[in-house]
This record gives sequence, C-alpha cells and structure tokens, in this order.
Amino acid sequence: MSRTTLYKLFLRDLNYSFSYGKYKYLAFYTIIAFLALMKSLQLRELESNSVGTFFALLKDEGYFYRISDYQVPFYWDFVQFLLLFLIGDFLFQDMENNRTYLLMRCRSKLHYLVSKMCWIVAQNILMILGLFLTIYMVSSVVFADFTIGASPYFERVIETQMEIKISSVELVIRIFLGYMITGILLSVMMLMGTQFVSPVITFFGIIVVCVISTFSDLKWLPAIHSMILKQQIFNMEHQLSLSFSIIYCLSLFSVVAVIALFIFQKKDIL
Amino acid sequence: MSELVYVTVTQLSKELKKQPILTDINLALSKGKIYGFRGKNGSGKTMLFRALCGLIRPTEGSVIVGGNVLGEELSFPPSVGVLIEYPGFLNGYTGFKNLKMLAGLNNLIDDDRIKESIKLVGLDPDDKRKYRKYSLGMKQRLGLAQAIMEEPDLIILDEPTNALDTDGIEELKRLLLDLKAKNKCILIASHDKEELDYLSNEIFMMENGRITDHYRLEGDGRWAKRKSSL
Repeated sequence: MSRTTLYKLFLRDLNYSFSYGKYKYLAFYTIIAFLALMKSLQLRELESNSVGTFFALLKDEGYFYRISDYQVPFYWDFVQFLLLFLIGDFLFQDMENNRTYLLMRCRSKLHYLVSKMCWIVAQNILMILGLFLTIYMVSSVVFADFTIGASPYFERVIETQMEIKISSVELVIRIFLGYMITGILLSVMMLMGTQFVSPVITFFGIIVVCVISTFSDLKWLPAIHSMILKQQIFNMEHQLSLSFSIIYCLSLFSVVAVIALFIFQKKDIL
Repeated sequence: MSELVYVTVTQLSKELKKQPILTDINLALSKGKIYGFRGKNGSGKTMLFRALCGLIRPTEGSVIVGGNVLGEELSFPPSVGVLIEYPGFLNGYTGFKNLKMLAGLNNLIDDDRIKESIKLVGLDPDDKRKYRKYSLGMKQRLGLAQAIMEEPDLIILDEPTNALDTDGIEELKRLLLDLKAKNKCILIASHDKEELDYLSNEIFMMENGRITDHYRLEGDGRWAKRKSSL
C-alpha cells in the first residue's frame, strides 16, 4: 500500500472537512461553550472546577432497575448525536460527490477506504479534543480555576458515587477515552452501513443503537462504552471496565473495518 | 495516428436489483477519435461510462482498456479523465487550488500544466475568486479542466456542455478536436444531436441500456449506419 497516496488522501480529507464543515463545527462548539457556561454557573456555588462541568455535561444516567427510574441522558444524547452527525455528514457527502474523481486518481479502492477510516479516527480524536478543550476553557474561566484537581464538589458529589476511587484527572481521561473509542467505533459502523443502505437510514440506525444503550445494561452495545456512570468505577455489579471497553471497541472496529473494506471492493459505485 | 483499438467492450451486460441496466454492449474504440453517445435520460449512457471507468462490475462480458481487463488485471483504466456530474470542489478554494489538490493525488503534472488546463477551458488560472463565486458555467469548465489536466489517453465526458453558454460550447468543441488530434480516445454523452454530429467520428444511439444504432462518419461526410462496432 502506498503511504504517499494514503497520506495525500488523508490530507485532502483534512482540508476538505474543514472547508466543508467549518460553520457546522463552529455552531457545535458554540453550543457546547454555551452549555458549559450554564452548567459551570450552576456549579460555581458548589465549589467545583472544570472536572465538575466535564462530569455534569458528559455523564449518562447510569443503570436503572425500574422503568419508572429511567431518565433520558439529555447531554450525553446531544453530544453523541451531534458528533456522529458532523462526522457522518462530511463522510456521506464526500463519498457521494467525490469518490469517482479520487478513485480515478488514486486508482485503488483499498487506499481510498483505508484513508477514509484513518480520517474517521483522526476526526473523532480532533473533535473530541475540541469538545474537551471548549468545556475546559469556558468552565475554567467561570470558576477562575484552571486546575483539574479534586475540588470540594468532586470530593463531596462525584467521589462519593464512585465504587472504585480514582483521581479527578483519571476521571476526565476515562470520559475522554470513552467518547473517543465509542465515536470511532460508531463512525466506522456508519461507514459500513452505507455500503448496504442509504446514509439517512444508516445514521438513524446508529442513533437507535445509541438510544438502546441508554436503557440497556448490555456491554456489547457499542455506545455504552462512553457512559461513565455505567463503567465499573461507578457500578461494580456490571463489571464494565475501561480495559474491556478499549479491547472490545478496537476488536469490533477491526471486524467492522474489514467487512466494510471487503464490501467496498466488491460494490458498484453508482 | 494509431488505429489500434484502445477500448474493447464485449457483450457487456449489467443488472442492478435484477433489472437490466446495460444489455449486450459491444464496442471497439480507438485513439484519435471522438465517440458520441446519444439517448434519453435513463438510456444507460452514464452507466456505460461508469463501467468503462471500472466503477461498476459487469454482470456479464468484459471491458478491456489499454490491453487490461478491468476488474481482473486492473481495477480502473490506466489513464483516464472523467467528468460525470460535478466534482465536489471545495467552495473555499480557488479553481487552481482545487485542481492542485486533485492533481497531488497522483503527482503526474506540475503547476504549469494545471494552469494550462485551466486556460484551455477558458478560465483564468490566476483568478483569486473562490469556487463558491463561480457561475454554473465556470464550474462546468473547471470540471472539464480536471478531466483533461493529466492528459489522459481516455477522456469520458457525460453531458460536458451542460451549463455552458454558446461561446463555452464553441471553445469546448475546439478543445475536444485538439485533444483528438493529440491521439486521445474521447467519449461524449449528450442529448444534443448537432453537437455530436459535429464532433464525433462515430455515434452510438442508446435506449433501455442497449445500443440500438451505430453510425460512422464516412470520408465523404455522410453518416453511414453500421451493424455493429465489433
């Protein structure tokens, strides 16, 4: 496989994605900044720092045992769906409009799709880094505290919910990793889905998978791995560890990627 | 000028969801000629072009380009320029920068050649306007520039005169005749009979995925109906 071709296709995706989606990304980060601002203002009197805002904005609602206890994890849904929409939107329109011209030049379906997968991984990492950076900057300014150590709010509210005690920094890293591996896996599943059905159906299929994860305790569901309250540190009963999440998501990513590559090689490009 | 057959299509048929899209297509196309394909919307012209590009796999039959069987020896033709619908150029880039990004994928040409291609289609390579400011006609011209810039042996143009004004069509005709003189094998799909009659050495009429008629321009300037191109 030619590294140069892959690198050039990847660079093109980077340029094209920014050019195509810059206003959408700006809108997304503006909304996140606004939510971070409101949440931080709520937490300011509770002696929190940015870790409190990360937790409050990006957490799910955990496991529930009676249907009447079910609560929609609004912020989790919102962030997860918007991230997937932004990634899928670029992916779908680029493949629809440009693949003929790119394939005629790179002359390899394998190069083309591998570069798309590399871009999916990079885009997820960049977007989630941007998400965390936005929340960190806005909340740190509101709290006038740029540290991510254990605040009184962390000790009183977050740490007391933990069944395995971890530091505030480790909590943030775990939330970040959860979102990242889930985003990468769900994005490559979208890529595979479009080999069979239309992008709209694929996107809604993935959203359904995410929604099921909010009320299911099945750790085989891909979206459950970005739910920090369902992780072992907050709930020992279901034994959902970070290492399991990473290994499971990477394994499933590999399987889905190979299937997508195989189908794409055989598929007509209409 | 070489009279050797460059593209051979043999008994090509394609079905999608059990519906025949192309049926028993046979073609023998040489370099240094322009081939016109005419037919109503949905007659199979674009699908045939996609098959010639290696984008769809034949259900039956074969496509051979430059001696290579597509889908077996090569996935895509060895040297091809294509205009099928608008390429998704970047709105925030100039025409030159858009072409440079595409050309960078196979590194066959330098900046001077990209600029020359832009001039050939009647655009200004130093135009600082972004693609989003281009008119439909300018977008079509830039699409044509991307199809010819790498000087491919096989040029496939689906409705290339769409959105072009009268001057643009005349410039395109001159450009295609120049490319023909440079020994390129050029395929054009168009609804416009006059345009195809003017440019083509041979014309294929398509209907329901079949080639229904085949005409060849004879030495005396008359169009002679042919039974088959093979």
